[in-house]
Amino acid sequence: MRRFSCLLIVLLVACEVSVAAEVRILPAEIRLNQLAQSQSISVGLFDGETFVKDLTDKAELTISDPSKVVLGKDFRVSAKADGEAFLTAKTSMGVARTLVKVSGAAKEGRFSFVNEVIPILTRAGCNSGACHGALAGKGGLKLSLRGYDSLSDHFAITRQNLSRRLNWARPEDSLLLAKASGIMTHGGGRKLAQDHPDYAILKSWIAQGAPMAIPNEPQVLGLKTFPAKLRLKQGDKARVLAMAIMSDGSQKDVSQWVRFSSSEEQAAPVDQDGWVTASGFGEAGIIAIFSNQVATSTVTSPFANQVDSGVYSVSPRNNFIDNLVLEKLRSLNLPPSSLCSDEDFIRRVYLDMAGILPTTAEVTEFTRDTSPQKRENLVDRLLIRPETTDYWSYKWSDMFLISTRNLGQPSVWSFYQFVRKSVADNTPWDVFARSMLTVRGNTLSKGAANYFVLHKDVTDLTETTAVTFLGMSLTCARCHNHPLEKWTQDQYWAMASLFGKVAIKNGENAGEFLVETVPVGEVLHPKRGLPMPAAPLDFQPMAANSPDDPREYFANWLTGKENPFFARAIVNRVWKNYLGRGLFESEDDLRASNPPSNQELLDALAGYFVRESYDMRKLMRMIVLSATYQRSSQPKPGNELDEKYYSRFYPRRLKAEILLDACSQVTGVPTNFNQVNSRGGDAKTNYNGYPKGLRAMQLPDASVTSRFLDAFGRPERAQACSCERQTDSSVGQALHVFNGNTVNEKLRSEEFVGAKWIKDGTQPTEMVNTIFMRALARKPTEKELAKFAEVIQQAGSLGDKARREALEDVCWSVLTSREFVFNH
Amino acid sequence: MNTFLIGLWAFGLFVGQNPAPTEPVRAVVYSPQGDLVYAGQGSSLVMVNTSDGSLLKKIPSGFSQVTALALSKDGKKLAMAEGNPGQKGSIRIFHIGANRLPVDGELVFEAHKDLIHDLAFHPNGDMLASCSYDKLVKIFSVQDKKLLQELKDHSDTVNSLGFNHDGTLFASTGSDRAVKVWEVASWKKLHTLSDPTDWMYTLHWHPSRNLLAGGGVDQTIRVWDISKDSAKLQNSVFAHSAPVRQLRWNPSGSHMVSVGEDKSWKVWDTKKYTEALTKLGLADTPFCVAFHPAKQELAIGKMDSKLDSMDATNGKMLQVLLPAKKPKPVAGSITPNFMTIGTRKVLTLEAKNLQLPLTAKSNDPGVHTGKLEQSKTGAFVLEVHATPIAKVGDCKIHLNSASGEQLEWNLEIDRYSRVVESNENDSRVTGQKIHLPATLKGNLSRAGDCDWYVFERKKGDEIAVQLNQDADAKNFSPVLSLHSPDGRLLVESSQGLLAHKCEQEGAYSLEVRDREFRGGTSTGSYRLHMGDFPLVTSIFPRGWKAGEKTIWKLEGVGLGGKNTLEAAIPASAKLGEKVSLDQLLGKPLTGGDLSSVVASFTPEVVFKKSDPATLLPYPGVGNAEFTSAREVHVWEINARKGQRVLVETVASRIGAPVDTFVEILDSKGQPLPWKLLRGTARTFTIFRDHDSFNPGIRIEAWNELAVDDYVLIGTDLMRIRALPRNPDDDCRFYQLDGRRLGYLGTTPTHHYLGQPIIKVEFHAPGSNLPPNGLPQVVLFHQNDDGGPRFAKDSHLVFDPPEDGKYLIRVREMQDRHGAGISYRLEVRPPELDFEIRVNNNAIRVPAGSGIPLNVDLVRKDEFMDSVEVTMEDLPKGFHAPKLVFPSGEVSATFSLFAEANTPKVDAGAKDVTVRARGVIHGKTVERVTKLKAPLLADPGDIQTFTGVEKLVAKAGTNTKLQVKIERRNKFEARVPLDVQGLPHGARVLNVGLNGILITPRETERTIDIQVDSWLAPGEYPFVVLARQEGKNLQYAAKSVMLQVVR
Repeated sequence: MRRFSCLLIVLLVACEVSVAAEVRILPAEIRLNQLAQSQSISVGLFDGETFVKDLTDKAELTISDPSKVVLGKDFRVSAKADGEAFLTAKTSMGVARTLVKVSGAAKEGRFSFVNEVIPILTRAGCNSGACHGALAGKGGLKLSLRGYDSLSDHFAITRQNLSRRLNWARPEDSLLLAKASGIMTHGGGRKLAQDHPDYAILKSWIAQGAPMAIPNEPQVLGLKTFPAKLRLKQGDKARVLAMAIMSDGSQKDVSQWVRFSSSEEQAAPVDQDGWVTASGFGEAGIIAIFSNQVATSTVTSPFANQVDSGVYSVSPRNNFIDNLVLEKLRSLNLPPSSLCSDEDFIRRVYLDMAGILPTTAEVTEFTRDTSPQKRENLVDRLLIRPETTDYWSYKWSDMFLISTRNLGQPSVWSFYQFVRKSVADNTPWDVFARSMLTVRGNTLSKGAANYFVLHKDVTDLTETTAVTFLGMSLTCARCHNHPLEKWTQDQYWAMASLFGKVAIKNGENAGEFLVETVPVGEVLHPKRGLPMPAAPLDFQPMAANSPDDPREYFANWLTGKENPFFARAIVNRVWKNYLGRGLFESEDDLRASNPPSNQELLDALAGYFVRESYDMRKLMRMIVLSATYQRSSQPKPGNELDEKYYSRFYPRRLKAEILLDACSQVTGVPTNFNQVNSRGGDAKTNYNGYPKGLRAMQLPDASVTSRFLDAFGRPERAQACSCERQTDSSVGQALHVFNGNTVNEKLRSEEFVGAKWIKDGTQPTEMVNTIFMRALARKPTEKELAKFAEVIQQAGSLGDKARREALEDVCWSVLTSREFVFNH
Repeated sequence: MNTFLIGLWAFGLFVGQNPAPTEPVRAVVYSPQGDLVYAGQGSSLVMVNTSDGSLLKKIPSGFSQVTALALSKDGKKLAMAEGNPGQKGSIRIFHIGANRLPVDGELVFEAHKDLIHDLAFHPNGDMLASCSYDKLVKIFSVQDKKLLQELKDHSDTVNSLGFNHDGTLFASTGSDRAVKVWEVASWKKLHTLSDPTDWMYTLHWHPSRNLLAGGGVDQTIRVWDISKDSAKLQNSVFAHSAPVRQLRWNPSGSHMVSVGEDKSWKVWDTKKYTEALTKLGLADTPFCVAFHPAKQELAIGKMDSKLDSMDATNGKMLQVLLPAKKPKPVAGSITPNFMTIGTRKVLTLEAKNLQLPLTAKSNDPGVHTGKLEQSKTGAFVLEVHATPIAKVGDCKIHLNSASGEQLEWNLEIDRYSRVVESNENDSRVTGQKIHLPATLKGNLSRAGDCDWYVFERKKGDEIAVQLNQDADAKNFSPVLSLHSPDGRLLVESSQGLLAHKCEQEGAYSLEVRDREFRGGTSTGSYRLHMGDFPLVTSIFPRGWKAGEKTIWKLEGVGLGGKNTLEAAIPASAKLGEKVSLDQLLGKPLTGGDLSSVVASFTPEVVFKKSDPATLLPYPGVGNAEFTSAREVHVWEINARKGQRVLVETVASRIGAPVDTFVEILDSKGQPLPWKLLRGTARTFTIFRDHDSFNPGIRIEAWNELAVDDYVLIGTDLMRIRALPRNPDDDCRFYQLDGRRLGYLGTTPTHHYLGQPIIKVEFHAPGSNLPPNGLPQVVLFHQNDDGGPRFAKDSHLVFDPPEDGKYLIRVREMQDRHGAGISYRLEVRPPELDFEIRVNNNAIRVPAGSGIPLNVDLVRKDEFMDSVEVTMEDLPKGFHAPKLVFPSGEVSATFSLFAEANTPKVDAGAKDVTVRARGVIHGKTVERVTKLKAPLLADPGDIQTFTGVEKLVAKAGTNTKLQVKIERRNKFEARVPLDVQGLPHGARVLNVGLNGILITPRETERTIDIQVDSWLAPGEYPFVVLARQEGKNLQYAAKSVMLQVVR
């Protein structure tokens, strides 16, 4: 189609719209295929491909041939007769024109139950959870939630209760219409006015015999929203339209039926007609859901900062990450903070990569190093440290729920060692996932097999696998089509069928199991009672009689380079580990209706990861060597409010295990782990498998008794959800650190490192210096040094006991400081 | 000495019962740990090991008598009183070393002018008190023997003294009949207790309270409650028929022991001051007594030179501590404790108490012992030669004395020079780098530990690994795994042997771990011998027809290219007998479990990969190896309709790590349907996940289920043995050996909470059945595991639908392949047989009651007919009913009953014969097993009665049975009843959540027994028993015969 447009040079406020802006009508192409079919339109000003101002209600709209096309007051154009007509929009900023093509206007509109009736009912809220979509229905009418089960809904509306809901002879007398339009008393109130176009569609559908389907009915294959990108000033409004892409190649305006939502209600709320208001600053995804299809437009509302564009060009760019982050910051008017100091960097990178504090010698050596590659060299050394292996083994153990809560002690070790070996060997993530998901054999020999022992229920296995390796929750789709995502119940059970042949048998010894794939084994769809063809999400099903292990078919799909979820999910987990906030904030909520804070960056990271053969260390190295990771946590004027776009490093409380280990490291007093909680959590048993000196991050089991770890949010490893780990700070945590046993007993211990200083007669200034270096990786300021040394000095005059107590107090002060408890 | 004592002594002397002792034991104390006693015997101090009575040390005194001993509270100082009567009493204070024996630096000083009768340390150890025949009490500084205080208040001999538990009070007593109590801080006398009516011999303070016990010639034990301000006589008890010689509280103060000159000793319960134990008739007069600090044991020293160790709970003699035994020889260290094959070494063997002359020898003919000498330090020095034929592993070195004593040391024989494990080798990346060949000594330092070793190999190099572990490693099941330079797992072994031929050059890695990831001291240490020595890891085929030569393929390394061996299993071998590789070879070679073969007597063939299917004779055995991943083997058999064929694999049962899956296919290779299962009802598993063994599964509802129904859960077809009795009960499924049975070739697997359970009915494959909303499932002739007693081997029963060719497809379920991953496939007709099994643990039957006895019938190859079992040669007074196992039944329980007047059964009584009779192919067959003769137990607290010997029940009705119990020994608690051994089809109805209860103090209960309508008429014995929950004992009534009639 030719597109008519008019370019108008307009002068606008700097930084809002570039000098070359264009008025356009949306959609750019309009085709109407049957009588009365209509299309919503909007008129806007574009800066390149970005929509910057809505002009619809300010535009003068005209139709070149009203005999072919009619323009309604609601900014909809409708078909009247076959042919073409131009729609022209005149605005003060320019003129835009688009061609409307009409064909098949002689045909009376035929309406589909799936493509029209259910969307109408859904938009009206009839099948919502609060109305007839409730589990028990309402007033005797029970519809499937949001219309996921069209067959049942059609039966209920057309045939149930002696077909009481429809009147074939006088459609307008149908209970369905009479109740919805409020003619008859309706508990849900009036849902559809008689003059509403949707009322007419329902009436026509009934008049046409209320068919389940019409001949050659196209299916909805996709959904797109437009404009795709919007940049709005605070207070501006704009409308987002939605178009369904049908299986016959046609496109259909569904703006009036989609469900809109905003990923950032604070920044840009949206109403159910698609009107977006820029009410705050930042970026929001405007999500449209229709018939299990999801599409997203991005709305940017730049911060009200005056930032010199030179700020971005001089900001360090170590790799592609920085380019994409700075681009995002530029679009949001957010200035980046400068790079952190060496002291901050070494402490930060040690804690984030290996879960330990650098030693005084390591800090000294690093800060004295003048090599330009010293940060790179440090990262390379850390990548192969055993503590780094411990760190990631622990993180994955959280994800895989390794715990005596769920498994026997030998199985815990077996599973943990499998994970640890993989981390130590830097096994590519795709190989790791494949080895876990296709494992067969004895759970003590092949630790990964415990994954299947933990998730015997095929639904649990399906959902956990989705969360773990795809970063998404499929649970809703177990019972009905996913309300927030494209996944249908059929797709869920098709994926579950891939795990239906997994069998677990007892081994010859207690606590030992055999995991295998048997030739037969079906998973029945709970509604249909039939097995679904085994298929991964959005992928062709496996051949029905294939002798192959369906899990391998799944693994092939999962780890395929084309898989849109696999790499993104893990990249996001790793990113969140280092940056403190995920591109998808929740690590296991990756979905089209939850747009990332920087889509381009996520795509680029995932692409890099795939190109580098799923090499975890390379990915980690790339992230921590970026200037983005190395930014100071100190806000800069203008980026104080940013908590999402990485203009600065976000300080965060140390994880429970790391904090405990850090206390042990500073005081020199290891923690004893010698008890394990019972499965019910109501009893403890002694366990001597953990020698003294073992760090919390080296524990394979989350059920090891520790009040400190519990207080600081150690996950139970009961469910595969990153939400299990509590990262917030609480009063309980503060009290535990201030008054609890953990820190105080370490300070009082005979092993306390300060005991030797007292014995050796170490000078107070040296003590304070050492404590600061051990705990904070920096020397104390002059004021800090003077104050703390004085405390020790004065106490020292009363004897060694008082001196020791003063030293304990100083150390306590440092260990309870925010600077210690946070990584920054 | 007073006249009374003289008289006693004289009496003994004249009547000749007590020959004059030479070395009476006058004083005794235990070490704080109780591992030795210090005793004053005659004129010496002796130290005796309490575990074996051996003499540890003897220190002679310079005087005629050692009269008293005291040990400081911390056990670091021992005070001994020695002296000559009428001349002087001296004190020696020994410093006690870590081994509880005196070390140098003792303190000696003269303290009194006559014998010292008692000593006591102040609890803080800085003061020592002594008292003497010279009427004085003296307090010395332990540090410098300075006299701190002299107490002169006693008017006669002072016999006993002591400090209270916190050292604030001090008491003394003597022949002036007075007990005097002093304040230690001021040495001011607080109280004089004048309750005794005669000489006082002994005082002892309570270990934690201010209670003072005393005794003496008035034969009475008195206990005073003392404070600074008061002293009250708390108890007084007439204790012995002669003077109380000594008394002592036990460490907790709950009991007290007294010894009397009437040659008796008593243990007193100090709550009531009554005798907890009285023992009379000591061999001679006791002089002293001491309580063990940790055990209920006593040491009593007597006039006759003996120190006896006694059990304070029953009065039994435990052992004689004095006169001390000759010390046992003890083996110490061996240095070095290892050597390499082909080397000579001089070993130092530390030993104690071994008498010369000695001879040395080893238990390995390949380890030669040479010159043996004793070094200046007393250790033995031995030349040893580990010749090239020495066995790698542990060798025992023995030293034998001429008097027959023998000591043993363990010498580790290494194959190569030894390398010691370094730390931080817990992954492939951080593995310890070593050079082969080497013997590596390592240990799993903690739970979860895995040790990795990395070594370079070239293409074509061979790697042989042999692991030896400490003989006393209790928790170590080693697993070895070899990884390629790129990290792939090449070989894993749990038999401690591993071999591999390298296909590429690079750094290989070997991991050592425990099968259950245990570690620490309990896993001990291990040695890895790594090189290219000859090692056979497996042999193929794993069996052959006895007497028939075949070519055996050996898997291993170092075989010099000779990987085959032509030999025959001896024709004399028995069916199924295991023949070792050494027997085939005629010489020893390092090999593991997979290098033995089994003998058969049917034709054998080997699988040919090149053929589409390998023809298997019928009956016959096929042998095959899985050499590559996902390998599938197809065999061909010719079978005839009506001729039942058993198809089974033999692999895991002979030690091969193989889990087979077997399918029978038609001649075109298509799976052969067996049955069509049609669902007719549905419920769900609840409450928990269920494993693949447990016969009990908790189900949501059972109103549509019945006993003997088949249900399908997942892929398992199982059969209901008994429905739940209540909502908190499991549904029981048919089982064998405690493992749930799968039917029609299905294999029990785990089931998750909420899994559907489908009741099914069987139809012929291909039947056209109308849909009913529940699934229809086709079962094919397939089997993973054959069930209990088949381990992971497969077993299928095949009734050929028509004459012709059939295919058998075999695969490995765990993807294992390579050397040793082989199986034998047997096809044969059923061989019906049975076997009877009874738990042969010691059976103890309470007199007047019975105990339930379970009998298992092992049915072989589909033998389903009934079997009759009788018990013969039961001891007099015991009864057991005749048992009949109905068709298909595999377990029965009856009451083995002993009459109340049953005579005691001798330990060596004749075994009971359990005789089973069945009919196989028309012939009566007997199978017998033996049962140790039951013993008679105490009648206990309960006796159970049913009042009837026979209970007649009409099939399809309920019948009541009255059960009564007799309560004995004032037993009043609730009594749970249980009914065992009811035939399948009969069950108890009125079972509550707590079972069938007779409530406290009640004595009877009626039981409702339901007999299903289909239960065949006959007589079935069953057992009613009552439980004593507190003692976990059960008391059965006589067996009741359930007679089922139509």
